[in-house]
Amino acid sequence: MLETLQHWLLLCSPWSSVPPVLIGIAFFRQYNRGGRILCIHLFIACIIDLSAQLLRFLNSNNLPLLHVYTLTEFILLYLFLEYHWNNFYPKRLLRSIATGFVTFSVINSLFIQNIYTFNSYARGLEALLLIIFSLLSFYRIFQDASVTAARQPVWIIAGILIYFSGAFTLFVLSNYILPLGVSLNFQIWAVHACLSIMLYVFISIGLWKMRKR
Amino acid sequence: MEDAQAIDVYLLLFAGTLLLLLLAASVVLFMFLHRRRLARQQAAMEAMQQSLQQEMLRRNLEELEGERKRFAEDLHDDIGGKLSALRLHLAQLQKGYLDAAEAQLLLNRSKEIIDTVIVTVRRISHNLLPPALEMFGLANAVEELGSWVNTSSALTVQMDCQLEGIMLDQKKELALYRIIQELFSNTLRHSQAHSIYLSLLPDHKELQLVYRDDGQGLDPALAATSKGMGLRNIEERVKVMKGKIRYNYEGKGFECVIRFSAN
Repeated sequence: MLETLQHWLLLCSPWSSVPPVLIGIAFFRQYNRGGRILCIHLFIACIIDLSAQLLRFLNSNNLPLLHVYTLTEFILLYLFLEYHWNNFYPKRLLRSIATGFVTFSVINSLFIQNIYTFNSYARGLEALLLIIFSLLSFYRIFQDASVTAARQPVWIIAGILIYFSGAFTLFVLSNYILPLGVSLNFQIWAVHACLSIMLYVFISIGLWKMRKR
Repeated sequence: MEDAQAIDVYLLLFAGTLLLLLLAASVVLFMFLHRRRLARQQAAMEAMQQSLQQEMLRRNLEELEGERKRFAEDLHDDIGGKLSALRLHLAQLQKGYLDAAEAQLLLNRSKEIIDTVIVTVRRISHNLLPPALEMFGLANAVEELGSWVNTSSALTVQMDCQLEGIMLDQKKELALYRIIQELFSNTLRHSQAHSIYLSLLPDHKELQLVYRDDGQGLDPALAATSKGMGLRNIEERVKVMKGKIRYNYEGKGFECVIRFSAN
């Protein structure tokens, strides 16, 4: 029973990005700049996910795609969150941190960790930074009581926070999990699949609420 | 050894994931509850504002209808009747059946009617918008009003208006005039007072209006819960002028003190 559940979670997880992509395509023109940035991230995520599935089907190592995905995901999610901060925080400082991460991620992929292995350092740091940025976004929303709920992407930020919080330890220990055996790996990555599905469900709800009525 | 290491990694992973997930879930739950409470508060405030606006609109319409009714009654009862009588007199004179004495009598009566109509028209127009306010300013208009109250009722009015060198804009002058008119009207209708004191004096960069009568005052318990339309109108005008109003009706009489910026 548990194994069947794990199997289905791992099977469905790559497709969970499709509903928010469809919502994004349908209402793209109605979104503000932040919404459109998120839609672009979803399109790229969907393409990379499907490409990764194709490479897996062809028995090729698809981990180089993860290195690329880490960069694009971070940049686009950062820009999405920055749009909604609306200069509440010092832009220069946060952009410097973001630029620092991008530089580190590139250096990590080129010189530190092989692109055919899991980029645990970059992925772990990305998760940590996005957790912090999500908390900053929530604080901003909490402080500014004048902004109406309809204009704030609370669902999307909640999804980002829950996903990266749940997956942080997994990303950091990912290279240590591989030697633990197939069964254990399936269990652990099934948890990640569950978190991933939850993320895209939250993003779908958020995109649906963000559209102009 | 390797198994022990695997268990350590597994436990670390499990504990780390669970802890962070719980923390994140708590933050998210807190945010959603906070937003829901905020939305409820905003909805309640909007409902209250809408209700207040509707109440104000209703009161304004009531006042407008009341004034129109008074105006219509004045025109119909006073002027309409008299002009009809005047027409009858002129019709009789036109026929030429009357002798000189009777014709002279009719002419005199017609003149009296015309004089009464002129006075009535002046009174109505004065009530709507006193010419003295536009032509000579607030101090003059208030003194004229006080003088009218003095002569047309059993009240003694004592006034002290010192507005020399003070330039108020037209809206403030009209608002103040209406406030004073309302205060006089309340005293005349309800208070059974014998005397009124009114002062309008500068106090640094502000103006202070003090109105006092020696009538029966207000029942404090009643005043706290339901004020008449007159007092509410006064309060609204003071609010529009961004002024402050204070009442004193304990003991005998009624006192109202209004302060506002002279700029």
